[in-house]
Amino acid sequence: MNESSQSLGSTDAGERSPSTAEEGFVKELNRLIGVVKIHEENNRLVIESAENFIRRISDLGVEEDQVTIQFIRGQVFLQNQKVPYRRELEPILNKLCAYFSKRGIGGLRFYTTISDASTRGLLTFARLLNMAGNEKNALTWFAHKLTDEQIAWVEIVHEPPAREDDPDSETLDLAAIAKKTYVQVLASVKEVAQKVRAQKRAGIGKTLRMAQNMVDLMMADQSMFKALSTIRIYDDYTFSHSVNVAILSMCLGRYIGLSKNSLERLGLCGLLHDIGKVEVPEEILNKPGKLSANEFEEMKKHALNSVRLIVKIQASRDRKARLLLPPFEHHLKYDLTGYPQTDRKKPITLFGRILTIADVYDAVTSPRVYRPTILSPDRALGMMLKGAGKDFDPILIKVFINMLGVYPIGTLLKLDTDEMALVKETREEADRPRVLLLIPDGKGGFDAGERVNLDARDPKSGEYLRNIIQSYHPSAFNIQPADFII
Amino acid sequence: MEKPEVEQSVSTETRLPTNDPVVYKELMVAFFRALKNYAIYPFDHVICRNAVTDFETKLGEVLSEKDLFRIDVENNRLLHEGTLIYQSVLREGDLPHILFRDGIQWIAFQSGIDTDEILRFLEILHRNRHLKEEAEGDIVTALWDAGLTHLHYDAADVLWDAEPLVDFGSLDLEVASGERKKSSSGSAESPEPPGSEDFEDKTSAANLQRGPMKEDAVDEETAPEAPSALESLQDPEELEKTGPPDSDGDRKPSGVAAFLETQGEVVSIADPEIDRDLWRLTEAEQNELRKMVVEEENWDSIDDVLDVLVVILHEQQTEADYSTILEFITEEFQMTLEQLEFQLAADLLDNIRTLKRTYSDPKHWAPPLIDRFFHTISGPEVLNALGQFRSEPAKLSDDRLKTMRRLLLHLHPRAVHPLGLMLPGTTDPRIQKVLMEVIGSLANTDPASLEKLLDNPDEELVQQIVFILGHLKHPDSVPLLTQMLSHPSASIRKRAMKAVLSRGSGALSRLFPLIEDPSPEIRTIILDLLSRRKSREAESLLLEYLSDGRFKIDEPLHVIACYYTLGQCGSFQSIPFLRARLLEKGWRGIIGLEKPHERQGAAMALMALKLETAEEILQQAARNRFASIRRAYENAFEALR
Repeated sequence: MNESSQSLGSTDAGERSPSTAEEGFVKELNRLIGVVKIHEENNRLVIESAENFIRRISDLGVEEDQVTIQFIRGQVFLQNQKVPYRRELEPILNKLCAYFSKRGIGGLRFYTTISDASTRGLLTFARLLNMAGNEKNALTWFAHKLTDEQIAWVEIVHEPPAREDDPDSETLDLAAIAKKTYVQVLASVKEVAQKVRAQKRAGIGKTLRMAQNMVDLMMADQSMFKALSTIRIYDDYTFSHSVNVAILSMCLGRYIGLSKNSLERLGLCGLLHDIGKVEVPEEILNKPGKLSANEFEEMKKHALNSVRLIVKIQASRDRKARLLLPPFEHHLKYDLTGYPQTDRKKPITLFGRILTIADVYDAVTSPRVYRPTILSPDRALGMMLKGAGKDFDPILIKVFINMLGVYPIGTLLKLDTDEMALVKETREEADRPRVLLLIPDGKGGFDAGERVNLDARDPKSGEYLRNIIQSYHPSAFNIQPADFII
Repeated sequence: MEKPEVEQSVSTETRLPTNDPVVYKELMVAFFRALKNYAIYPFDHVICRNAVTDFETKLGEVLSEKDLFRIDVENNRLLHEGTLIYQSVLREGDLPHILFRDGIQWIAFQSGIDTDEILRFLEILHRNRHLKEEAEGDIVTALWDAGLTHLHYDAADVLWDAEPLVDFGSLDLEVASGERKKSSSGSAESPEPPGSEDFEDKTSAANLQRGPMKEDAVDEETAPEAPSALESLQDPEELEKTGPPDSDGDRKPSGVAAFLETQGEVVSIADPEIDRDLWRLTEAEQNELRKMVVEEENWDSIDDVLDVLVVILHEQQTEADYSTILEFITEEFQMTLEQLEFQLAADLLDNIRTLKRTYSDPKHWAPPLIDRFFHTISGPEVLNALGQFRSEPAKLSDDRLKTMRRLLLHLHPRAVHPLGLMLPGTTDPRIQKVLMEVIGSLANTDPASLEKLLDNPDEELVQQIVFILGHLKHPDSVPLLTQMLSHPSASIRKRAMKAVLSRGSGALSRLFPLIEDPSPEIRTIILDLLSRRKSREAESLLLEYLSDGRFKIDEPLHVIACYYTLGQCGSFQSIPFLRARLLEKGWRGIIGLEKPHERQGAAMALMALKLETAEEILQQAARNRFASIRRAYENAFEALR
């Protein structure tokens, strides 16, 4: 696990800590499937894994003589209890969900009679599970095979039907993918930054793959993708800011009709646009107050630093050439009065103009150490509109507003019904978005409530059922929108 | 001898149904053969072309029965519909391994796939067979970029073993009070949920400002008072001081932080009083937007990138960073040559030369690095990029050629050799002329740069180089020219001779050895040269040569011609020698040791001298008692009649 994970927060009180036995079972199941796939059955690792797995079942099945694992809408349940995710366990849980989902298997119930089964029998079971992934009707095939092989200590559990008011499992899968993508993108950017800071060779293979995943995710569900840009990580501002700028830029790029390959490049530019900040002293970056003139000069260098660091990255000449300009330009401003000031008087590129907008928007809507107050997203747009033609491309800023809507996703609203709501989706009637109501949980936080459209009217009076009174930035109420709307 | 084809296909005289596993295995064999041959041979090689065609044909047969042929990937196996169609030893570089390595779970060929897509797929596999550490990408990223319409795949995340994931609800959010609190979902310690009265409190702008702003080192006397948000945005001058909306600008000493503190004054875009038309795109703007996108999709970065790189270069503070940027500029420069973007390349070099002049300190480390840059770009590795213009001369207008000339003149004399090598393949006389001029100009600072070219086996090229050498003003060019007087090729010696002649002084002594040149033409030219006028130098050279008597070209006519030339260029100083040659040792004829051509030559020389003393000697010869002497006179008289 890399150091970056330390700044991402920790599991909190309020979540049930998983017992060692449950975690052990899940890990062992994952391991068993993996080793059988790679090694021969007489391999020591395989045999060990089989024995451990049987032991785990015995440990867990003491009270009920069976251990049931189920995969429901992208989540893992063990003995009918949701396995809460912990940092270390999450990748395994996701992998298992995808694995069983691919085979159409909603769950498995292992009986404790498994302890009487031969190791060979257990390995056959694991092998059949793997092979089922290649079958057209995997579930049926697997069920038949279990019968043929007379494996009686395990049975297939079918997934319960989805509830009507639940999002469908595909959406939940996409949500899981979206979250995973965000974190992986963040990690890849950090990895590159750490390597360039340490003056090591830094390739962008991972970052490129992530940029492509981001494009794919955006194509699949732009709203969800946009919602990722609401993520705020106070301790990790520089990198999360880069990811958010990439997301916002790509959304804007897609909105104006850029091709997939251009979007990939735009995403990379966004991810790397502030990489030069690795060379700005931490005490300046995180200074809780105004910068002196010298300090600001130091800060300004990051635009030039970014170019130099991109040149040093392990990538083809062509790719680097296409990446280095927007980071250079993103503080120049539309009218070229920004920095770095040079003799070059060419208009900044389209990507540079896009990055400028995304960069400022994310910055002014993020809590910063030196600026406790932040603008709500709608006020941020109001402020930025005034900069059209000077700071921002006048056409692109309009497009940006149209794309985000007057109440962008993640805006916190107070309604005249005394309710609080988070904007979940912008709609054609931009002033009346689709929102997620927030219900105080009595412990200072909120639970997700109903999803409602603010254009809903009373059938009798024709009046709107709910009206917006005020907008806020969600962090003012300790709300991380992504936690609710993804 | 041609390399043998790798792997022979199984004879398929009897066609099996396309769903027979043997067919799939044969298809894989054909695929591997195509892949291996693609790696070994250029595509237009018959072996490679045949292998690819064979695979394409077999694939087409399979796809005629089913729309999609999917191959599932395991670590060392490939399967189709559960059937094993290929198994390899787990070995780096094997197809299943490299696909598995990059996370590919399956690939599928769809009907409609054409040769181009197959080739691009092969190229991707070939290029990514062995991944370097810190690779730029892998098979998956390459396939994504390629966007092959009829090739599908699915890939798993393999780049992370166990990436920490985030419970977004647990992320730290800085609350306005300055205290860190967890986000509200799942947090045990959170502020009381707001009631309506709290809303009023919170909505007032003053209360949204929490926590003191730490005072900085900025002098309070000079720091301007923070204006209101709207004022600062409306007044351009004030904007200069306060800082415009900028992600870092708000941290300027007199920045936007001030007006952000008065958030209440920033109007929401959702405010009903704001005209929605403010962000409605007009038709003209929509057209402009479409144009932007088209321009971007067709954007060639070189122009803009080069500009920025010079700016970046100037800002570098360390030698290492400076070198890094120069290396990248070298690559970009090479690209400009490949694209025949001479204007860009010339401007770039102009800018770098200008940059070099800004370093006034003679000990600064930058100028030598710049010199090294010019040395590098003058080498064949970079300049060979120019090669294509020779085969497409029509692409070069006169203006472009002029620019190319300007560009090439920036180069280091090291460029002489690669540029010289371009001459033989250049048919367009305009391009030839430019190359010759540039070579001449560069070589004028360092004639030794031509040396390698002078050794080239291509005679025509050497001719051209000698021509250039002849026009160089640099004194070091003379020894090189003199060397060429000994060149094995007569035409080159002749050219060199002409070049030496054009140099004026000292030419005769350098050229004289050519009097014994194997080429009669050259010998004639030399003698003609010597005979043009009376010359002490020519006379001395000839006297010495003839006195020695050891002639490499021991042909009578040559010897006679040399003597005659002596007469033409000589003076009374030659008379004693000529008298002795004509009149002495007449007895040699009796005993058969006569050298009649020398006597005759001497006689002819005396006749050419047209001096009274010479005439007297000739009369003596005419009446001499030795027949050989009398004969010599008579033959000379006949020859000159």
